[in-house]
Amino acid sequence: MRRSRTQVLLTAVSWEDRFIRGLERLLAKETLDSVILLDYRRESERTVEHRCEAVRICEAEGCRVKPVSVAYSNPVEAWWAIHAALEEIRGTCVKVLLDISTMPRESIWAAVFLLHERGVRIRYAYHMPASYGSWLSRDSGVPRLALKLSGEMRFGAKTVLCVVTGFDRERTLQLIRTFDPATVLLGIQRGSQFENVQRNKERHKESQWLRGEGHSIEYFSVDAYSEDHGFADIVGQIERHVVEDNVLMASLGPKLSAISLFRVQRRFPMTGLVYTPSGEYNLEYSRGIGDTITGELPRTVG
Amino acid sequence: MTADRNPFVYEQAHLIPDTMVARYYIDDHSHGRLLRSRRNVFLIGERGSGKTMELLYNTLRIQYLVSQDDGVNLDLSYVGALIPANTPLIHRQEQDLLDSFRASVASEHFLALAIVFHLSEALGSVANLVGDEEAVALRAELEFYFGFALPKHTDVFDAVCQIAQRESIEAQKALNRPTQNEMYSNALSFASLAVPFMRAVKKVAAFRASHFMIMIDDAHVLNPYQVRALNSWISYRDRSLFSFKVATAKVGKPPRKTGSGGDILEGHDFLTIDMERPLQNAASDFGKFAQKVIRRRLESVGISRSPEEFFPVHPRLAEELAKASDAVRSRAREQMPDAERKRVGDYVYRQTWAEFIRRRSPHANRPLYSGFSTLMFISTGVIRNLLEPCFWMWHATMAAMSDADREVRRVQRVSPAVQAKTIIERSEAAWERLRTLEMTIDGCSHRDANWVRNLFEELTVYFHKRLLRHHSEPSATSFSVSGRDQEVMEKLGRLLNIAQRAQLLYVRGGPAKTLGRRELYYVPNRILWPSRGMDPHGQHARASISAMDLLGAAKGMAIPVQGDVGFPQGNLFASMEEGYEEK
Repeated sequence: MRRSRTQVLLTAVSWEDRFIRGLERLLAKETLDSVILLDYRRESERTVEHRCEAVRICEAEGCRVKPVSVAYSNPVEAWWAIHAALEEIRGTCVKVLLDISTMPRESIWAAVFLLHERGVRIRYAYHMPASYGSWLSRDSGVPRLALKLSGEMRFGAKTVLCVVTGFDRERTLQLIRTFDPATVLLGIQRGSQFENVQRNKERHKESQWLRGEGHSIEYFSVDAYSEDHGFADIVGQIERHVVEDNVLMASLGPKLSAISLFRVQRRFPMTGLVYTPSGEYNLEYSRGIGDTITGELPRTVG
Repeated sequence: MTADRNPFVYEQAHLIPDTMVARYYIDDHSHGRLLRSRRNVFLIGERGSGKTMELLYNTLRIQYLVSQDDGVNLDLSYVGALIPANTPLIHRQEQDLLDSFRASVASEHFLALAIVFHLSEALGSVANLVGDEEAVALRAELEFYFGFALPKHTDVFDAVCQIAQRESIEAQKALNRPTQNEMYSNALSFASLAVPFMRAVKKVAAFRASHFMIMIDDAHVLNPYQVRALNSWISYRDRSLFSFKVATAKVGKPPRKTGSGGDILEGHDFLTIDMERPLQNAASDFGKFAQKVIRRRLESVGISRSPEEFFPVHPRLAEELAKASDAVRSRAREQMPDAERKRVGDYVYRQTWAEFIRRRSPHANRPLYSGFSTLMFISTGVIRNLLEPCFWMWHATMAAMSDADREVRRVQRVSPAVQAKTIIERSEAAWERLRTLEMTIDGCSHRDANWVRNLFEELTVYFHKRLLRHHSEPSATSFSVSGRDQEVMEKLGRLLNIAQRAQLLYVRGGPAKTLGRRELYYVPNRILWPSRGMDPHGQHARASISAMDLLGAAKGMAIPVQGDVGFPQGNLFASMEEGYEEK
């Protein structure tokens, strides 16, 4: 079988099974010259074993490994760390494969923004887990706008918040309370994978959990596992707001929606992306590894 | 009128239509006098305490509507513009990628533009205030100051808005470019933009005697550079042209440092209005205010009943409270035969709810919480807390009506059963909020959340015990903190702060028992009490609990009660089956 040539892999070290299993899967399938390991200092105790193993298996495959220390809780420092790590990657002759499975959305957006601006061909891979833990994250930090992707906001315009929802309903609530939007567009993932109906759809559609706060709530369905990762679904919702309103978008659901939201932001640069940091992730966040979904960002991403 | 119009809407004031703001606002003359002055004023209070409504009402746009409704001339002595800070533009953080000088320049640029945009928008909201010749002169002067042409074929104030919008968007585009340290080269400042703008507007005859009120809402969202810039402007000695009215949350309120490193001082540079009000009894300022708010809301949908008539007390609760009151009065007369009438009255006030609770079977259902007075007390002195249960009661009342009947004029009251059910539901929702703090409060860790939960559980048990046994102040549900050891207070303060941010705890200032001193005391949100069968009315008293005991409570230890002989813990009412019936 002919192997495709990918030069650089950018991935985030994690304690989750799918990080190491996913790395092995990519090394077996792709030809990699080097691997950039984003290493989040806050999680370094949890990830130390996987970090050593990752270095070992990459070097065994003949890949150069470049660990990059990243401060999760300081977005500016993280931005500069990613900026420096990708400094030398430029132009159309370089290909980058992003393993987004365990990478914080804020880092995904920083990386794809920088690479895309430099005309680099960007492919991505997402390893689904076999299952998720009973809870995923807690200790929410202050939601923040993604650097360089915060849009072009107008004075006097209403705020519209578009959220691709996930299992933690309270995170949606936190976003709403932070930005006080006039309209909330809640994108609910289609399908019943990972108990989606009980843990996401039904909880977000329970009556009274948001009403009375003054926001108008609109629901729409989205499929982050489809070929465009819900891009068309989201565009269909927000294009009627971009002319008059300030639109903010957040991905709390399937990780692949971070890719589609980036594309939507690039199509409508007046919109902004929002990231909600977490103080703690469950050690049992996910178990095992499922299918790997791969894709490529179009040159004209929007 | 149809049921779709819920008069108790409690959403953010900035989302309410102007006509409703003009109609719903209750003029509190003490606040109005302070705001409509040349003083800089900080309005502090947590979410829902009415800060935005207060500012909105004083904007030129709403004042114009009010003057039209009242059939009087618009008073232009004070021209107010609301500058909302909680906008996506203010949340952006690209300035932090710049060095601190350029970050401060970029931050001030956006804030100055926001001020000019909203001020100009406010000035343009009233037609025919500027004559044709004045408009030409104003346009020429602004173009001279700003250094660029204003758009033609539009009103001068609209033109200024367009320019502010354009400059803001151009600056955002520049900051969003991937290049390092990119900064918009035409950055503007308050001094180069807003001050000349106001000076030029003052030359228009209608505004010659005007003072501009720059009213910044949600100032706690401003970035540190903007806070320092704002404080510098507040420290200007000359307040003939403008003053600032700044609304901010109590927790996380911005620091008082200026750009040059000095401090702005209360009393000297600004005054503070605490928007959360003490609530001792129905005759207190908040009690009267709450009455007016509900009456005005009912009138807005054509209902001319009093709040007490619209939210009647459940007959069974009224009867049981009357029996308890009689028993307490008899006991007082028996034990204090020579006591003055007032002293007996005070005793009855303090003891009636406690007596009512003590007389009930431990297996009884929760009391049938109802009546306007109960609604007022569970608000804990915060207007949104008053409106929220009313909103849901209206909603439930309408939902129970058939389509044909669903008209406002048919609603003459909210039944006590609906009130009781709604109050318990809202109370349980508040406890649920307490269970999800780590998901909803920024910076609240899992351990913090557990400790805050424990603290409230133990406070509930503690106040239960007082309710059952305490002789003089059984219904106290507030507390002050004694033995404020610094190390303990650091840990405890963090927990109290989280509870405050979740609007589960309010902080008030009041006289301490030590003569002449004032102290802070803490009032748990009274909506928590109904679900635990407690007295939501409370009494004007506070328990003194040591910091060490409160921290112990956070770790799950019981708070000792003086004379405590060991009470059963847990819920006062063992049986929690719902038992509401229509009366």
